[in-house]
Amino acid sequence: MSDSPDRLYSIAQLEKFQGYSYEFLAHMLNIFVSHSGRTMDDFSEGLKNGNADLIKGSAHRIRPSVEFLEIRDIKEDIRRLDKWPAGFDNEMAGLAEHVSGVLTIVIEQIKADLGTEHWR
Amino acid sequence: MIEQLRIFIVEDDPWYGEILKHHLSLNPDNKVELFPSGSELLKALHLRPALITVDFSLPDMNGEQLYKKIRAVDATVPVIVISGQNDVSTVVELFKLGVADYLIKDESTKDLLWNSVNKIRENLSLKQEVQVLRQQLEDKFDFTNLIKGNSPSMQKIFGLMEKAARSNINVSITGETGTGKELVAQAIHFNSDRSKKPFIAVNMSAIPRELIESELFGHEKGSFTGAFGRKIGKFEEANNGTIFLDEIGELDLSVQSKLLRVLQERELQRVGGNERIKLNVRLIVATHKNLSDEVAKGTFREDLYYRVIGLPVSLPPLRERGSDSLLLARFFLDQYAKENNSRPIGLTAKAKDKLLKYNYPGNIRELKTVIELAAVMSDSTEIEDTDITFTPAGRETDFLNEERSLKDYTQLIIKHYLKKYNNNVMLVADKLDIGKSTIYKLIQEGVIDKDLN
Repeated sequence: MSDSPDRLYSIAQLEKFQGYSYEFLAHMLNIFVSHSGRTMDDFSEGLKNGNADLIKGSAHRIRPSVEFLEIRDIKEDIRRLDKWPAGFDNEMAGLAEHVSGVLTIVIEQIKADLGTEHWR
Repeated sequence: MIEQLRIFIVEDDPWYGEILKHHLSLNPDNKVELFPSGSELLKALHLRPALITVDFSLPDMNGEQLYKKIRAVDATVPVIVISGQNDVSTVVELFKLGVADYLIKDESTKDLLWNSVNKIRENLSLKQEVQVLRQQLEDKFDFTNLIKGNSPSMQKIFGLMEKAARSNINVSITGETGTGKELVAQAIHFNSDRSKKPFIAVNMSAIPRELIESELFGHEKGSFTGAFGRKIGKFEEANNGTIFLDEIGELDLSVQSKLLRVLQERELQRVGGNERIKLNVRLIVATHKNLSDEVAKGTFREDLYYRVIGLPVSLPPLRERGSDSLLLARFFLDQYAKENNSRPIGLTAKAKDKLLKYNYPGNIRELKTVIELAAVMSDSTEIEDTDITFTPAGRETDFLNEERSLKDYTQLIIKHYLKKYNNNVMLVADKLDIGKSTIYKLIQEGVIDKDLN
């Protein structure tokens, strides 16, 4: 079960779990897909309304899963958004848009992998 | 042992919540449930979880607020807070409030949580064990379980013990050796308000005279040669509980005055120390001696006597307890069968008769030994009179077991004394505190041989 080089996420940490199974992996990835969808909705609303707290809160909630799935492209961005010290500004908006873009690709990859039973 | 630990996880991040749930569920003895918010958890608290983990940043309240709400419903359930922030003041505040653990969210959280849950499981297990043992102790020290006796004299003792257990009065227990003085003291303590506090028993006759003061009141480091460190005395150990001073009649006069001061002032100073330590100790003393006689002889302080006498409980010797010896024999036989995993053993009519006639100078302790030996010797389901052997210490009382008339016993005693004192009638009359005419009359009546001289 090795990760493909163009894949933006990794299941290596999940594989370390004792009692690891395909069912567990599929369950966790499905949770991530659904959770990421909500995060992108929150980001979208936060960007529209300039709501920094909504973006920060959403980044805080998704941070553990992003770290767990080792989504390196946005790991640092999510950390910065979670700890964002100021109010809404262009830099925050840029980070949120980048995170949303990467999450969209990751969700597509996960769905494809689950659909083709790539991890079995 | 805790069989299944019901763990509630409060985590608004479903991903992280599932990770923790999966990880903790690897132990099949954990039953893990996940809650997405504080309010959802509060609705389920009536299910009485054994442990709760709380994410500090929840959508409806923070970890501290939720902790306080949990405590308002359940004062004891351990709560572990898991947080993405490591702000020291928050951590300190939460520990002050009483959280069981605080974990920072990172790669090692699940492993740290695993260890923390295991520690709490062990702790809960120990608490449960203590509770079971405490219950067993309470059952063990129930008056009727501990002390067997249907005789009127023992019923009177039970009444006194109940009065003693309900109050805080000092108790003095007297009785021959083997009558169960310490058991009575334990029963009073374990049925009193102090039952969950220490019961400390000290046998005065077993401690060397030069060590008794340090043993009772403790000492400071360097207070005398060999005092290498501070020692907490028995009185301090018994604080808020009960101290049982057995054989108090053996206490040296110099220590008696110190004991009196401690009892009067309700505080003590360790040997070589200056600190005054407040005491709240219930005192129960026991002795096989008659303390008022000791006061008369000048070996026991009168003021201490009045301080310790409190509620006197005088335990009757077994020979004065009618058929209690059979009741106790039955109890010891059942106990023997249980401890040795053997079949129940009974007593034949002749064996019962033999037990009833014996004098038991060693009282219940002696009866127990006699019964256990008989159980070992017996080859059948019933103990025969021939299986029962009384100990050599009981030989002197064989005399009484002969069950002669008072007249016969009087003659035997006078004959014994006359022989011992070379037929000196005057001396024998003096020794037996009877008139010499009584002896001469018996000689004249031919009851005692004239040729004694």
